[in-house]
Amino acid sequence: MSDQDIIMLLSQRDNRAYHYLYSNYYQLLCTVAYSIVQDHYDAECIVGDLIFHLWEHYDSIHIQKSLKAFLISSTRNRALNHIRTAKNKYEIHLSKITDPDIHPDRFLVDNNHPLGHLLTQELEKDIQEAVNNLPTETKRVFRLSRFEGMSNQEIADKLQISINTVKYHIKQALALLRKALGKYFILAIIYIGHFF
Amino acid sequence: MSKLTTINQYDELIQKLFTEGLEKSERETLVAWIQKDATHKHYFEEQQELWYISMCANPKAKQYDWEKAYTHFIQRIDANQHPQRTKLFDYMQLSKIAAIAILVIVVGVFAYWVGQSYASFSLDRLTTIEAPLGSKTKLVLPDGSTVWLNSGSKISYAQSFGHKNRDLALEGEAYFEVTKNKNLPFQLQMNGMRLKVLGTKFNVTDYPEDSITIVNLLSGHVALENQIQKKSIMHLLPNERATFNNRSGKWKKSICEAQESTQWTSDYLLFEDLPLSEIIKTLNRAYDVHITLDSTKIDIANLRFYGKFIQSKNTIEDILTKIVHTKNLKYKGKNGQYYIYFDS
Repeated sequence: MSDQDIIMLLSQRDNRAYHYLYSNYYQLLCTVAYSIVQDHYDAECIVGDLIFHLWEHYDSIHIQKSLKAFLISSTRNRALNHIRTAKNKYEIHLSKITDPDIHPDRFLVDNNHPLGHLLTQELEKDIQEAVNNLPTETKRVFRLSRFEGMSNQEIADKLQISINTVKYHIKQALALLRKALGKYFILAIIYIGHFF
Repeated sequence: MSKLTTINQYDELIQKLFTEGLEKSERETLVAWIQKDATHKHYFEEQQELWYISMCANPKAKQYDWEKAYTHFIQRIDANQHPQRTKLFDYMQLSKIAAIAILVIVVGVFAYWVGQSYASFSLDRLTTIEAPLGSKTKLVLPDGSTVWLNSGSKISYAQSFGHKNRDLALEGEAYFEVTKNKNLPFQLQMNGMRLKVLGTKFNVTDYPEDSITIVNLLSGHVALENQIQKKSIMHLLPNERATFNNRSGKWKKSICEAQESTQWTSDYLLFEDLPLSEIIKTLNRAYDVHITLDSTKIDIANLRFYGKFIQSKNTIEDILTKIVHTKNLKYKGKNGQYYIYFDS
């Protein structure tokens, strides 16, 4: 089914459309949400609420360009809203930040340059490959930081290395990912602006 | 050289933003740097995008069960398409019944806790309500939910409870009837486990001082998040029980008669095939007494009993008398101090 087919079925509240969204996008969208809220349960609720919203407002949804881009940006916005509301108390708690001055939002978001725009280019495989190709130690540190949500200090304690070594590996990881994926940034500029 | 140094300095701030979060002043410094020059902005946006999209490589991403989620979605839209008929003629009654999702948390090992876990649940301007030893308390929370607190238990919540959030901390044993509010999830933080609700679901947590936590669900839907073992999630349906070891993070689900677990709210003390060691803990709390066991001859602590008592009618001595009669034991003591021993 093409994007246009799905969008049409969505406007008719046809269950096949929702089934398609769940089977094709649910896991990706949960991952998008998780990367912001750092909580599997919240991530699933956010995506579930988004799809339910599409069902509730089936007659007023306008998806102009790519379905995937629409879903990713909607999920991202919902996740960001989620952590900005009062519920973010747990984010602060879980990440062990007690200083009220520290902002829980780990991203500075600018609508002109939406987060996740590279994902609309079917790049998941390339991204996975880029992460898997990181040197062993760097990959280990990066995964703990990015996927387990561990603080630098926790990683240092766990791996018995200094905090500066942790920082070095994260810096190294970003530099190598930039090297592997940087070429897509140029392409991406074309897509920007088609999101909302 | 100097340019390289500045980039390094901001690289560190960017990384700190992603990994630890920034303090207000650091954030301002970074934003000023980003706004100063278009190349800075570009560089920052690309770093941010890289960090953000790298989550696609998370091997855990595969664990989301889309089929289960889809089933849940279908149930949700069905419920919306066929609203319950009773709503038409008795809205108040319905909101009472439908809005009540009932949860019982039985904390197995009880007593002298209060701990680090509790302190780390950072809520400002806490309201704390405690049921003293020897008495039980029933209260209505600002959001209309009802809580029965067993002897020696307490709950805390911030002043924002009920309008900004429904975050709650519990120590001990409580029975909840939670009013439904889709906009404000009901969240209960304990050590190693968290209970959370969006709409009609929940999630529970407990403390390190008590090794076993039991959650019995009477109605509604609760999600429990295991914060010790890889943040795994367990969903409970009515008459299901979660038994959680908050030291090891191990847990299991079983079928239960959830209604029975609320017996204590109704003045009954119900012991069903429980070891004496557990019964004594309950009695110590309920009557504010101190009972000890002789452990020299036989393993009295592990002897099991059945019994049903009414707290307001049976004295502690009535109960002790019944217990010792069934197993060739004796007890001595008075004024709250008792000693159970084997009658040789």
